[in-house]
Order: sequence, then C-alpha cells, then structure tokens
Amino acid sequence: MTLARKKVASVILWVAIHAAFVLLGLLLPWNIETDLYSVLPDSSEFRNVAEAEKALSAHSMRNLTVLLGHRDFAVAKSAASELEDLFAGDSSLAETRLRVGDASMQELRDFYFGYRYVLQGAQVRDLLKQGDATALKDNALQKVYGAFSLADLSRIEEDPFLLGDEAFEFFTLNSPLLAGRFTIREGVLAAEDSAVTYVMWSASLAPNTSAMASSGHVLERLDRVLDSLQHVHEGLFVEKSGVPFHSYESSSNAQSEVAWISGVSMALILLLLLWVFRTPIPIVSTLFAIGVAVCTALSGTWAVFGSIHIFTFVFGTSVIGVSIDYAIHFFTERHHIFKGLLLGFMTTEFSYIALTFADFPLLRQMAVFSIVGLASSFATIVLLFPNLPLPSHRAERERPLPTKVPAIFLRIYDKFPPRSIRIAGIVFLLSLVPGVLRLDVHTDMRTLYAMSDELKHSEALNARLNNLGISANYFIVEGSSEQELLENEEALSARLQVAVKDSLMRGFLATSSYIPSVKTQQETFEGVQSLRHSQALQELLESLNVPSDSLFESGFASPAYLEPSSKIPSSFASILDMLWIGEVDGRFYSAVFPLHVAPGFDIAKQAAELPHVYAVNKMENVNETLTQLSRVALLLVAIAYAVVFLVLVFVYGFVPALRIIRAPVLSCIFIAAVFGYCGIPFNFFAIVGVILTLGIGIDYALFFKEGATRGLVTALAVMLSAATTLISFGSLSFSSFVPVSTFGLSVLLGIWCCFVLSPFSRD
Amino acid sequence: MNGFARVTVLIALFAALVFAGTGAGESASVYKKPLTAAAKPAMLQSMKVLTESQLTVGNFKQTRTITKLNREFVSTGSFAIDRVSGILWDTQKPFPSVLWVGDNSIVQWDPARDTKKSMSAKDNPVFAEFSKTIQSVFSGQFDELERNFKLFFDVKGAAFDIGLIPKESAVARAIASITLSGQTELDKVTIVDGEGNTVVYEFSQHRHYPDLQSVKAPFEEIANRFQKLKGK
Repeated sequence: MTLARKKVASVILWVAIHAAFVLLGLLLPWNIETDLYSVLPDSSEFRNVAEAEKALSAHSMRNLTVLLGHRDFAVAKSAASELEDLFAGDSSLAETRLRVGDASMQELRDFYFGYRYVLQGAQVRDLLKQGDATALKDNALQKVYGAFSLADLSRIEEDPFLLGDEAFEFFTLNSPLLAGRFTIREGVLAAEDSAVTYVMWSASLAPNTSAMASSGHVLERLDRVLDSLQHVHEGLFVEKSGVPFHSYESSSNAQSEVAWISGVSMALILLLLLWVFRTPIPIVSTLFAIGVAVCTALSGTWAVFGSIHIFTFVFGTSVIGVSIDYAIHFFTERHHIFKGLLLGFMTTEFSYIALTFADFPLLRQMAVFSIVGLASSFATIVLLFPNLPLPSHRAERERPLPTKVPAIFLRIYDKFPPRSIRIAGIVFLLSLVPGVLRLDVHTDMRTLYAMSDELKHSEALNARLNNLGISANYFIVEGSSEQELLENEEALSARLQVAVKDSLMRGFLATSSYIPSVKTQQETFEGVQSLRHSQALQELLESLNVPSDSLFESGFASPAYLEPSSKIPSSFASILDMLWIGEVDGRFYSAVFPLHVAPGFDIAKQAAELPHVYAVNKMENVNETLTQLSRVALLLVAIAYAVVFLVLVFVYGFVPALRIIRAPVLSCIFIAAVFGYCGIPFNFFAIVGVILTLGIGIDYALFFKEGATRGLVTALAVMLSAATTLISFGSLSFSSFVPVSTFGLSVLLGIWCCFVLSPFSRD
Repeated sequence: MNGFARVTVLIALFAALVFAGTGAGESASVYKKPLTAAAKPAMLQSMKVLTESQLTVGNFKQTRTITKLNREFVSTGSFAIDRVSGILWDTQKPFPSVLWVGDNSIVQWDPARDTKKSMSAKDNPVFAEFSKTIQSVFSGQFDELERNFKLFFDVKGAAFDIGLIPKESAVARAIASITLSGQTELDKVTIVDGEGNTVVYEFSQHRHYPDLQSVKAPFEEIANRFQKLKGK
C-alpha cells in the first residue's frame, strides 16, 4: 500500500470509528442525571423510591421564603407589601404569599362536622372500641357547660356527642403545624425574635424557572428589590431561606469562578503551547482532538447507559488531560512515539476497564466515558494527526524546539549518583508512611457544601421561628393502591407514636394523620353506630334538653369516606400536596416526615420489618456509597496496575517495569500522605484525582523510557504535558467549591510528584 | 415547607379557642366611647379591681346562649384568679369540670374520672395567645389589652364598662367583642361571637387573699384543687 493510500485508509478508519459512536449516541434520547440517588447501587427497590423522592424534591425545592424584619412592625409589613406588589403575578413565580385570609375556621368546622362519623382521633376511637359511650357523653357535657369552651354548639341537636367538634379539635389542635412562632398580625404572618418583628413573604418558582443563576433571573431581580427596600427602610432586616436561594448562590458563584479559572488556565496553556511550537497548528489540532474525544465519549456513554450523570463530567476531565498529553507528544517528538503512546494508552485503558467491574453504575459510567474518550484521542493522534501539514524536518532544524529548560531539568537529575537517589527514595517513602497512616478515607457530602454566613444565619432564624423541626431523614411509603398506601402509613404511624411517647421525636407529618385509610374510617363508623342505641345517648339528650334523636339518626344515612381525591380544606391542602407523592409507575407513594428527632432516633430501625416503608437517609446512603465506591475504585485500579505491571515486565523486563510504575504509584502514596498530614478527608473526589494521576502519570514515565534517545525533546514533551495538566487541574484547587478544590489539589500533588519522579525511569 | 402552610389552621384555631359570647356586645353603650388619652387614668383606676388583688376567688354563673337554636346553657361554679399561677375555673353544676389557664399550659381536668388533658402553650402560639388573652382580660393587663384590642371605656359614678374589640380581623370573626362591667369588683364579662352567640359570666361573693394557702371557707375546695393541679 502506498503512503497516500495508507493516509486515506487511516482517515476513513478514523471517520468510521467516530461516526459509529456519534450515531449510536444520537439514536437515544439525551438525559443528564443530577440525582444523587443514581450513585447508589442499582436495584429496582431504590429505583422506585428514587423516582418518588425525585417527585417529592421537585415540589419542595421550588419554595422560598423571605422574612422582612424591623423593630417597628409597621415598617416590616410595609416593606413586605411592597415586595408582594412587585412580585405578585411575576411569570417566573408560580405563586406569592403574604396576606392571610381569615375565612377558614368555618370551612374546617364544616368539614369535620361532615365527616364526624368516620374521622376521629385516637382517643375517641379507643373509647368507641371499648364501647365507653358514657365517657363520650361526659366529654360532651364538659364542652357544653365548661368554661371557655371551644365547642360550637350550634349543631348540638344533630351532634349531641359533639363528635364534629372532637374531630375538629383533634385534627387541628394536635397538628404539629402549630408549633411555629408565627401568628397573624394585621392580616400577615409575623413572629418576633430579639425585639425584631419579622413578616413572612413566600413564593414558589414557576415550573419552567431554572434554579440556576442567569442574567435577569427572578432571584437576581428579587435581590435588587430587597437591597432597595433596605435602602428605603432604614434598619430593615432581610432573611432569605429555601433551596432556590442556595442553588442560585452556588451556581452564581460557580459561574464566575469557573469563568475565571478556566479563562486564566486556558490562556496560560495557549501561551505556553504557542511559545513552544510557534505555530497555531498544534494548538488548533489539540483542541480539535479534545473536542472530538469528549463528544465521542459522551455519545458512547449515552449509547451504553442511556443517560449520563453529572459526576461523570468531573471524572471525564481526565480525557481532556490525556488528550492534551498525547497531542503534545505527537507535536514535540512526531516520530518513534507509537510504542510509547500505545503502552501509555493501554495502561490507562486497563485502569478504566478495571473500574467497569465495579457494582456501581456511576463508576461504570465514568470508566466507559474515559475508555471511549481515550480511544478516540488515541485514534485521532495515530490516524489523523500524521496527515496534518506540519513543518518539514529541515524547517524544524532551522527553528528548533526550546529545549533549554528541559536540559537544565535533566542535568539536575544527572548530578545525583544512583546510590544517593536510592537513599533519598527510601527516606521519601518512609516520610510518607505517617501521613498515610493518618489518612481518613471518608466522603461526607455535608462538608462539601459551605453556605454563606448570610444564608446560614437566615436558615437558622427561619428554623427557629418555624419550629417545625422537619428531619432531613424521612420515610417513603409505598402501596399498590391509595388505600393500601394509607394502611401502610398507618402501620408506620403506630410505630412512630411509640417513638413520640419515648421522646425520640416530637411528632411527624403524614397524610394518614389527615386522611385515615377507609379501613380505619369504617372501624370508626362502626363504633359510632354503637352509640345510637346506648343508654348514654338517652341521658345526654335529656341533659341537653334535646327532645328527640331524629336529627342524630339522620346523619347515619350514607356515610361518606374521606379519600385523597376528596375535597380537602385549603388549610391542609398545601401540606398534603407536599406529603402525597401519588402514582409513580403504577404504584402509589407518600412521604412521612419525623419532626424534632432526638439523637437516639434511628430512622432505619423504625422502618425495619415494615414492608413498603423505606427509610430515606439520603445523605448517609450517598456518603456511605461514595466512600465504598472510592475504596472499590482504588482496589480495582490497584488490580489493573498489577496487570499493567505484568505487561510492562513482558515488554521491558522486571527492573525497567518497576522503574516505570514506581513514579505514578509513589505519587499516589504522596497524595494520600499529604491529605493525611493535613487532616483533609480523603474523599471520593480526592480518589478520583488519584485515579487520574495513575492514568496520566504513567505516561510520563513511559515517554521518558521510550524517548531515551531523544532525551531533551522527550523531557520537553513531558514538561509540557505536566505543565498543561498542572495549570488546568491545579488551578481547580483554588476553587471555593470543596469537591472541585479537593479534586484539583489531589491532581496537582499527584502530577507534580509524577513529573518529578518520572525522569528516574530513564535507562 | 414554610409557615404559610399552617396559616389558615392557625387562624381557625385561635378564633375557635377564644370562641364564646356575651349579650351586650357592640350594641352596648360603651362602644360609643373609644378610650381617649384623657380617659385612660380613669380606666386604669377602674381596672384596679382586677389588678390590685394578688388572688381573687368567688362564684360565677355562666350563661351560654346559642342564637340559632334559641337555647341557653347555664352552669355555675367558683373561680380563682391568681397573679402568679393563672386562672382556675371550677364548674360544678350541672356537670363538673375544671379548667386551669396558666402561662405555659391550659389544663382540662375531669374531677369525677380524674383525667387530665393538657395543652402546652409553650410550643403552640394558638394556646399561648389564648392563655395570654384570657389572663390579660381577667388580670387587667392594660398594655396587653391595648396591643390586641381597640379599647372603649365608660364610667358612671363607681360603675364602669370596658369594651374590647379585637384588632385582628381573623380573631374578630370569632370574637366580636368582650365587655367587662363592674363597680368595686368585676361583676360581669360578656363575650359575643361573630354570629351573635353570647357567653355571660356573672361573678359574685368576691374574696381577696394574698395566696392560695390563705383561702378560707367557702372557697377552700377551689384553692385545694388549684394547688392539686399545680402540684401534678
């Protein structure tokens, strides 16, 4: 085959490989996962709960609250009214709430009167079960004749036992929703704290409003209005709380930070490459190789998994790192690099292939992303780059690459006698041991998000004033029908009542607390029916001077049962809206929230042996899984490295193979030791950095080994690779986002160490 | 979740809790005389019948009228208003029941069955507000009354009428007005609800003591009950 034909064939092969991946990816609908649940091991049970949880979060994650406080209530109320006037009807908000209606009492009384024979609290149900009609009669008489009675007596002839009133009292007075410090003042909700009266204004983002920061975003406008209100009303306190504020603040900070970091690092890399190559072709080609590799990796991952997790993108940056390295090696050395590239490619791929054996969908996804991306990058360098119109050897000789710096760099290494290097190596290794022993391999997502002091203060104040004490851990209850779900909830509620009695929690929010199952309602109805012919009824009617029981009897004609689809009083509708998730994939779900839990409350224990009740300890589950995932990933990469080592032994022999592998391995130990010494938790993101170091770092040693005869050019290539990696990943360590900075620090330490150690792999 | 979810419940309950009635209501002449700065000293003077005594005990007659049914429910018993421990209402006839309104809780006690129902005012603004309002009315806490009510005052010789109309419209839907009438003692409290139903408390045989231990016949029983409840 002629050279021209070979070139054409290689281009066709390259196009064919990439077209296949892109086509495969395009055939499927695109979907980016941001749900933390998808990092958990795959199981149908979790998938269902995850879907229900997602529906629950979608609802609660759109709510926001602003408290406007002032020493003078009138000023706070006036500021809140101005805010309401400006944002009521805003298309980015589904609703705003400031003024409180006062017509609900009768609605609630009428509602419970209508359902008095089927809706009763535990105390009345117990009395009915025991057939203690006398106690019910005495309760009624106390309500009628006692002081400051709460009972509405206007329907006493229809309801002599005051069952409607009993139900009203139980379901409203016992409601944990009343625990807050907010009261109605002049038609708004107000609460006092440290001599400041706060007025509550709240809103929900419209479904089509993103929580991410963007120009003209409703939260940006809200911030501006709040600033001007503070300017106009001197001494006005503004306290914001709710998930949208956190998302907005994080994404807003992230956007400016990412723009800074990536802008500065990209400019530095481009300047560096331009200085070395003095022509734009390598730079443009490198960017092209990266772009193609990332797109192919995305398509490939999509084709295999049908979706891609946001974490995969973080890990996927390794593809960029390696693509740059391969391209730099090609443009600095041009010839005789195939073996080095191939070995580097194979060793890195081995590490990633090993990760695909893990039982974690996220880890497998990350590995596939990197495998495909690296393969694309390798194919571009090997098949496409040789066809580029690059300067001839003669031209290269006239404008040689700047090898002064690598020359100085290598001279330093050549000065040290082998014996002192060995001693220094042993000392270095020993110095790492205490650090490694102090290492804390643990991922805690809570430590990875640091909210601003302002938001922290607002959230604390809001929690104090609301005093609802909603637990971060909760239950998802499942049922094959609405009624089965309510019955399952009641089984859980019975257990939680015991926990309340044991002071493990103060209460809980559950749909069945407001809408008992029809089974329970039927039992109540049967109990109430037994009152009809009781002696107590006759005595009661006589005491109340009610001439006949005909009105009481008329209520029994056709009992109506309350169901989730029934009309619910507006006072409870919004709570039930939150608790009742409804139908997901043919099954029914609801959430039950414990309130004010004590340290001894074990959510998993409460759900144990209750079928269809899932304890959602999301943060703990995710933390535990990420910690486990980190360990498994490290183990698999270690196994892959053992295989790589065997391959290298086969190619180079035992000692040279050991020399090659020692740089990345020692670098990883170095990362671990530094994290251990500094007391930084060695979390999932640090370990991703370690895996990246192993993948990229081995290439440096391999290139030094392979490029022994072209020492300075190889050193230049490795220096350039390391410099670009250090600039792009190292700059991330300056990020204010803990996951990003941890990852950046890990790569910075690892690549730096690898770079320093890799010249020792030369013969 | 934010506080709005519970707003309407809160309104309903507060309204319901302070639900009771009086005959006179806004139609009484006192409501033609809003409290003026000039009349404030005279009102404070009249309110001394509520504020001066450490402990007031006596008998009461409660008449509850349900307009719609044209029915009256009358009960009698004794009361104790203690500046430290709160108010105890000991209903004896026709059906016994005891209600203690304290700072931190409201307790209903059935002496026949010795069963007790406690409602904590500490973590519940509705009960807290209820307790505060009842105590401010019966203990004559002027600042608290002024904060929550529009005040009216009328005095003729030694006889006075104090009218209270809730400032909060949500509360006003349930309590249209509260009228306190008296001379040398608080003689009558009339509460009118939004539908015109009334509860009238008529007080008699007032006695004043420094503390519960000093209470003499015929009110030892209520003093004992108060102490028993406090001790429980």
